[in-house]
Amino acid sequence: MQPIPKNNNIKSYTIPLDILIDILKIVLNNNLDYNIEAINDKESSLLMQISFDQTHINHPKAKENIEYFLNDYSHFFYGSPNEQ
Amino acid sequence: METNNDHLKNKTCLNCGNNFIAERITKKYCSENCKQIAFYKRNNPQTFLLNNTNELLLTNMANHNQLAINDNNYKDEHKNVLSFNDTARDNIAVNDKRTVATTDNNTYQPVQSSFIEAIAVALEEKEQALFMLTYPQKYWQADTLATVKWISIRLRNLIENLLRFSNYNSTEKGSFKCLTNAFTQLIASPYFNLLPLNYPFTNLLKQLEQESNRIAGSLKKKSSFRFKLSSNRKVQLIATRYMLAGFIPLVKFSELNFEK
Repeated sequence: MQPIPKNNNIKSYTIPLDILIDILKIVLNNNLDYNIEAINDKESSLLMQISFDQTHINHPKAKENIEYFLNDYSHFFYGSPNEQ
Repeated sequence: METNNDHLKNKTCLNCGNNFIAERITKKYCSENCKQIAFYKRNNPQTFLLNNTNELLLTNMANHNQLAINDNNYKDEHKNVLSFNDTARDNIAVNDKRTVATTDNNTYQPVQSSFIEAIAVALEEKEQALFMLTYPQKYWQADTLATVKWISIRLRNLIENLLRFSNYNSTEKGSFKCLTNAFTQLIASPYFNLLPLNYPFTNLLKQLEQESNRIAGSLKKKSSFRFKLSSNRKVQLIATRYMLAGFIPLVKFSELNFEK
């Protein structure tokens, strides 16, 4: 197993299939290291571990972009207009 | 520290023109107040000008000139959104041509999610319905409102279940038949006939009943199957569920009677 670089911030995300392609675009466009940890076939989602290099100019932005998607999706899928 | 993603969250309210931090990419107004005023202006500009006793409207009347300018901005942006909508509807499951890849190491081009944008557009198109559910007393009298709530509680439950099934790898035929029967009973119920003409989800309810019956009829000997929703239908159901969730609580399927 390769050692994790010192500046890397690793986060795990549960990604719904509906926005998987969008998130993969960010991952691949920015050459982010990722690892599929688990597939939840029952709920059409997967657990993806993504590594962000804090010193890389684009990685923090990519991380923010991914978290925006997950936040928005979760808001529409589980939330309501009362939770603006 | 400012990042390139800040343009996603640092927004200018399309109603009052003030800058605000948006929690979501799709937010266009700084407050519920501005959202409602913009809605009135778009749907009935004369009411907006005449109905100045309304507290909500009064608070922004001082900015009226500003509002007129911002409304043009809104129209320009809205035009783009609508044209994107057409593209999204066609391409939602295929390639997203709007997505700009990161090509330069020094500049980050944020990726847009066609699925999330499509939900936002669907909500915008159903803006009238959202306002009806947010301010039901303005649209329905007490007795009609009871009917609307009775149907809406059940509709929300059925939509939640359809969305849940669509995420499952396998759906039991029996569970799906229960759902189909619930749709059929709901449409045959006396409350459905009492629904006001302006109830925004009557057609959707009929369509879902027909579609679920068609699927249930095609199952024959299968004990389980993979239930799938098209992207457009899923977007529509997520948007409808979202609107209903602000109006009525979620009740368990087993606790609901769909006949009367």
